[in-house]
Amino acid sequence: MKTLIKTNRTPARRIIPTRKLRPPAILLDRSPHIRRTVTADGICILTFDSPDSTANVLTGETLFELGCHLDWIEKQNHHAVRALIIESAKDKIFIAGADIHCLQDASPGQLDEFLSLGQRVFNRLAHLSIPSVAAIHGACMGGGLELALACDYRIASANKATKLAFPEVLLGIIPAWGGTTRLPRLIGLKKALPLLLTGKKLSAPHARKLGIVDAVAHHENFHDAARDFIKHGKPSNKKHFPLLHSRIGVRVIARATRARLLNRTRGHYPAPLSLLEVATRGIHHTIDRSLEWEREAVRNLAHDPVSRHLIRTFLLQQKAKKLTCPKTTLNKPATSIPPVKRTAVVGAGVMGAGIAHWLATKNLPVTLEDVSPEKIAAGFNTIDKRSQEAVARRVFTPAEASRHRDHIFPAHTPHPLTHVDLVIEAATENLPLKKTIFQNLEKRTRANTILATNTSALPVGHLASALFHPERVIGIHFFNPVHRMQLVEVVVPKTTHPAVTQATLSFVQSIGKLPVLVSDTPGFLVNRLLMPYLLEAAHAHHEGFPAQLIDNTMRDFGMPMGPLRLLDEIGLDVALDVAKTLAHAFPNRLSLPPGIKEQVDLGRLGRKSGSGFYSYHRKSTPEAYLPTHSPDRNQDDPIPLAQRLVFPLINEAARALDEEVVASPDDLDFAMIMGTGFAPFRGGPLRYADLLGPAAIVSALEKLQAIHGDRFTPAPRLIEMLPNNLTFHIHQS
Amino acid sequence: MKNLVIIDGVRTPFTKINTALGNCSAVDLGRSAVNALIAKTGIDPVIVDETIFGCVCQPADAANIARIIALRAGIPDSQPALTVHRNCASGLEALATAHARMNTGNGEVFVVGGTESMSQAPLLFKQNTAAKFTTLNRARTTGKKIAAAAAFRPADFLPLVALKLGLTDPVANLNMGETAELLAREWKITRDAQDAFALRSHEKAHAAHDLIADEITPVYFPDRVPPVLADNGPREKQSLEALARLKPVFQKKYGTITAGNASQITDGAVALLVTSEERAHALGLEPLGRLLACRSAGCDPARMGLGPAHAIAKSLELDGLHPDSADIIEINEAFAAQTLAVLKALRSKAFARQSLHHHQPICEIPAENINRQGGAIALGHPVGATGARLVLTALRQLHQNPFARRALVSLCIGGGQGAAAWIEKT
Repeated sequence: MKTLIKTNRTPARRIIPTRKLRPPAILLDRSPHIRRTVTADGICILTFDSPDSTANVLTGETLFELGCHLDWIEKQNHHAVRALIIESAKDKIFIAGADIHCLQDASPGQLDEFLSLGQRVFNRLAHLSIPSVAAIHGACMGGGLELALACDYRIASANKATKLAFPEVLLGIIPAWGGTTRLPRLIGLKKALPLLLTGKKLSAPHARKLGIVDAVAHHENFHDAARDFIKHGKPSNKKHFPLLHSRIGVRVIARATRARLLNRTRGHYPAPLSLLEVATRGIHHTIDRSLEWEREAVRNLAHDPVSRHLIRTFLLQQKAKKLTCPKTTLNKPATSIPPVKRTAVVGAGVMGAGIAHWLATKNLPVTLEDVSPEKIAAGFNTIDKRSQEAVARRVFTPAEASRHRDHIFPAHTPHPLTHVDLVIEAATENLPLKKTIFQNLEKRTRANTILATNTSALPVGHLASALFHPERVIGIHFFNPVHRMQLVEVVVPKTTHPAVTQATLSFVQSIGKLPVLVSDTPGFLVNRLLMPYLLEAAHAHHEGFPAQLIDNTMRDFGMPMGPLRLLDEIGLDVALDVAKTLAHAFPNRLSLPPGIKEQVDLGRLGRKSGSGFYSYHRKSTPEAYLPTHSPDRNQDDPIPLAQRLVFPLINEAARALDEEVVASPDDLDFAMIMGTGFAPFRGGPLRYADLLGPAAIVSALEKLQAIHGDRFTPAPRLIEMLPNNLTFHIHQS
Repeated sequence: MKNLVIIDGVRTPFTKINTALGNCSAVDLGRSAVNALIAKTGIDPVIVDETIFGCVCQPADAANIARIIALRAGIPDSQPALTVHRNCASGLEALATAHARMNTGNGEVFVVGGTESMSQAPLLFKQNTAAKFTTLNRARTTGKKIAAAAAFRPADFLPLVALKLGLTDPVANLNMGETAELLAREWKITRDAQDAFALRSHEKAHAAHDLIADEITPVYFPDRVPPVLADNGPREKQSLEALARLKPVFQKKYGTITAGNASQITDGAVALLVTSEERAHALGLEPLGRLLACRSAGCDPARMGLGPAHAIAKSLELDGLHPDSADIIEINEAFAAQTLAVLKALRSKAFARQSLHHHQPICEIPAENINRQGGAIALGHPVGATGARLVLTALRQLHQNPFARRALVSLCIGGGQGAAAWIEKT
């Protein structure tokens, strides 16, 4: 028989099926979050089961409870209680980590107390005289994994829900309940650092391969699997990495990692550097010393604005996952909108195919429509390429990828869509064409089918007005590439029925995207704010700033990609189209840079045509084109380039806020971070603006206006903020 | 008895063996057809009570191929599926089975059809080679392993071609082509008559190209392979001279059956949505036609080609449906000689007396009147799928001709059977 259990430690090579029936365990004690039972053969089982929640999180309270249970265990005779198993009663979560609010709201004193409480409890767990096993089924994150590392053995379930990770650095802090200390001691610095520094989620088999867990088993077999380790008692031989953890070895690793980190973070993110420091220093000292440094590091990091911003962004993501349609006072007739089970995408272009594939990966059947088999075949090519990438990165197995393709129903002839609950139109950006498509869709669908458009700039209300039932028309604006961008703008024209908005929000959340509600104004939010920034970069390029300089400046500022590279990725023709729409909608605020128009006329459309601001003909790094015009720019610009590019974005943000394009400054920051990657450590454009203060921004804008013209005219809202030096956000970070 | 109505149908392109669809498994072909059927009819797949598919050479990696097709095409896993096999009439048998299942209270909405990848018919090991592999597998000691390995001979690795085996009747010990040669000799069907019939099949298929195109759904491939949009069987420039140049395949001397006047070996799949008249009405679906009768009859395996004559006579006797009342007649062209022999048998008094216990000949059908949009000689004969294709093409022809009302569909079946189905326009 093939064993289902694989181990990489000495204790058990294979698990023999249960030999005899065991009497049921007796429930001995129940504290609010942790249940304690002891089996007839003397194994104590602590089951984490927070009431009224699908998750277990570690709070001061749960840690205290765990401490009480450990008290009890320590007092027992070795024969009465000979081992400990820690498990979770939840379906999909072992322990999701420390309660983030405990970190966010704590004073420095409270924070230190919280950290040392966790460290004390986990240390006691590690020092128990009986063997302990963490039986991990479901997400095991941060503090949860630290708890598991304090156990003698770890077994993990082969379930898809089981993921292990240290996401702390993504929140601007480091694991400080022994994670930074214990993981390198368990698997060696070389393997531990990438996990600690990136927050990468590991599947159970991957974790076993790295040596973090000792065995992978079905969670129904956990107790048998645990017994196989328990019978070997406390593990005697602690792992040593004599060469890797020698003074020289550690120094080599530290130096190389540090260089890579600085290159990647450009010095904006202190947490990874701090983590590297603690992990490499701690390895040569006692666990207690190392734990002390962990605490010290978090104390310093937690009150740094970077961590505040990252945690805030994380909380905004959580909020977006639960976003509901705001209650409206409008008394519209009740409509029942069924949950979305079958979908259709009209248009098999890059966006249409991307959306169809994303839906298919969520196991939603999707009809993919276009006018000819050739166009659909092109759509399938896009899908297959993405699928292959996903399989290569082990996101999906080949079998899963093939099932996803099965979910796509190609159609190039007219056919009824009566059983489709949601149609997403992703045709070319052409209002009359889209109107025709929508009128046609209205005939082919049920009255309560949601008709959505993925337009990036056209007014959704205009499309709705062409229909008999405009109340079911809404915008669902995905960003390119669909599989990478989590943000989706849900564009709500005034005519849309609240039930449709609510159903759309639920749908967007169900496919794992983060919705932000935006009003139906030109460019919605993200493109409207991004375009002035991108166009300003093109202006600067036209004036003679080299492309590399512009892009490097903005990457130094904290953008994930330089603006000119981004324009090339978007496609200059597409960008010009959006820019024209916006320029038409907001006269005098946008001026089209002559450079882009020239490039489009020359057929240099960006990456897709092989050249734009850069040349992509060689496979390696793109090569920048020199500005087409003679550099006549003034070398000593009064305003730094980064500000010249970012301030138009902030200026437009102030206007969008005034027009209530989004509900709050938080929403705006969140959308720009998730939709464009706007320097997350700065907390978004408005947090950044608040840091500088309105006076600095207005004065810079006025100077720029004097040099470059009226596109820099400060927004009324910024001027209004001047007298009292107000900020966009009410609460300062 | 509830009437079975056919709502709509689609098929993949039919392409010659090892050409455009050669890399597509029978499952993939079937899935493409069902997937397109669901899109075309706009139904919610949850209403499908059962999926019934015919397939002759059922792939070893897809036991109960209908179930695999149904699941992959998005029919919920709560809905059962079964695979039927009546050799060349499997695709028609799926329809007949749906009718029977419906009338025994086993569902009302069915996806039926047939699929066949003749390109992917496997190569097999001979039984004694397989036995040697088993011995090798069981050998435990090195000595025994060497001994077991040494037992293999080069001839052991000569594969058996499953396709060839499938096309050979083990009882009569005749290849299908040889049974056609027998009919050609007995019914005195000359090479010229066969070639002329074959040429007409190509001409008719070519002339009906646009009409046929409507029943075809494209097959999309991964990896940038262009989609397959059309049949590749019909030859526009086919000529009698070219046909006459071909050598007989099954009987080298004095034989008449050539690659040109036999059906093409082809890959393809067909899917039809069928239900009861009441259910179609309730679902608001407009049926294309109604199944009036479907009969199978047995005959001499060595003369399996005459199966349609037996089946048509049986339907006349049991259902009272006379071929003269058929406006559209589709008789599968397994071989030109075989189809012509069926027509001769139907008008033969002697055959009627001896084989059908009728006093009079059954009917007189001019060869020109059958298969008006071409037959298997031009379009190909993916064995498991053909029965369903004939139903689909007959239905579509009924709708193309405002005066047509009834269609008769018939096939010969390897192993000595015939099937005949009657369809009426609704």
